[in-house]
Amino acid sequence: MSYKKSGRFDKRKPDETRPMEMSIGVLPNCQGSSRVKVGDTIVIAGVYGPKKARPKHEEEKDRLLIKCYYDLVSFSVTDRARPGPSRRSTELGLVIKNALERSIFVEKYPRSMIEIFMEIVQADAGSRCAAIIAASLALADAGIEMRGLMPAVACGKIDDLICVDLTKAEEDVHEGGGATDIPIAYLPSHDEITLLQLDGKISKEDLIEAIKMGTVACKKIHNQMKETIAGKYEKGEMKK
Amino acid sequence: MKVLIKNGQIISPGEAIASFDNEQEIQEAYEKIEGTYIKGKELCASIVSKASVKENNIRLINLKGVYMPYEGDYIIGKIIDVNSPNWYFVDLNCPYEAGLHIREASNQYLDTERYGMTHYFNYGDVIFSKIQKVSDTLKIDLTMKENGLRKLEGGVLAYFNPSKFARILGKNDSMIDLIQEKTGTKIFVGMNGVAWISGKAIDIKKAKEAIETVDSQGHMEGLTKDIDDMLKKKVNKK
Repeated sequence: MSYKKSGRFDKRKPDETRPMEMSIGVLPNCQGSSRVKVGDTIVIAGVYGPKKARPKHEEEKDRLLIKCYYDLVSFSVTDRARPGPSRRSTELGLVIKNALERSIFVEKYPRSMIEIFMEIVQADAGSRCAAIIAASLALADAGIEMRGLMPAVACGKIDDLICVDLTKAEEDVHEGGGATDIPIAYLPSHDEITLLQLDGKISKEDLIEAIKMGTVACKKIHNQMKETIAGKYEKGEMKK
Repeated sequence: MKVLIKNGQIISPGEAIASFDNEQEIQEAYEKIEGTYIKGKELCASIVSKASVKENNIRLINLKGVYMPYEGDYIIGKIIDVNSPNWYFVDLNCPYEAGLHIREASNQYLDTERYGMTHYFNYGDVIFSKIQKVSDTLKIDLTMKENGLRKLEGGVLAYFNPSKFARILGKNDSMIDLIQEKTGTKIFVGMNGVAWISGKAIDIKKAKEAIETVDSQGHMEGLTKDIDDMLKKKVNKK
């Protein structure tokens, strides 16, 4: 079976992302927050700070300390996820932190720290990309100085079809060449890729094509992120 | 200089505001406009802001922001430590603690061995103070040696976004005067995003609500009139 001929499961075009919904300022108790829905994946992100660095020995004298917490809520996946940190969530927290660090002016807030909490309420593949979008919006909402908003998307290959934003069903394809998942985060204002991971098999030519397709999709997501921020303030912010 | 934005537009981080031909111009603009950074020949926004463009004169109204201390700022702080000899430590609603030396706390000499550090201030006391010095490593020194600087007794603290400080004061203090007059309270506003309100409990609640409204709607036009209407309604209800 060739996916190039039959197309994708949900009849999307190869370069089409799932429908996205974004909103900012959803949590009143933290400095910045956002909720992002990408298809069936839902993420809520909250940012605390900048505040005094704790614990003190982790404080950096000349720059901001960023702490990222990625967490799957127990009911977010089909088999119950065990609550609390796991190997996977620790790794993803670090990966997301490294990606976001590039977009923040860390040198403007010496000796302080921010904490970014990302809760995956519902997972259907691409949760780390959705988490990056949510975290970036929450940072902008918190008023932290940034180089730009950072969209992210998973591009990849289903058997022989190069496409973006794979769903869980598409990721689980084993026929032919199987599925390849390449999450990328992209900073459009500087034209830089800040996150690139690869899970599966892909040739050099296909990888370059997939990344190109991914950056184009990221630019579209970036526009939606800008509209989300503008939309909140143009109408006048509603009172809590 | 070429302006790349429209008047009244909401700008998100990373968006280019204007492009320049020479380096000196861009440096000047960068120093003048808050919440920006330089990227090649362009000046870009780094904070969510609202643009105000008048004949090549750009101003950005930052809608969100973090308080960063500057010399000469008037702030409202809370004493959090009186244990160190000769130093009070003050929380300024920002990532950095400030220090207030006992020498700067009053004009009079105090024998701390006899009277103890709590003679002037104790834990949880709220002070209206001025930033005397900020070092390169963001060590903050406060002073109380100026007319009007004092300990604020009683009252309630209200927090707002520090970027809305100018809006809460209003033109020639019109907004804060209006709120004080209509609610019959006394209000001190610190540049660090803290306001101190004193008066009757019901009046404090009204004033607090007014400040919260200014904070959340600060970027809209004709706000003073809206607040006037809002407070009138509240008074009539009573």
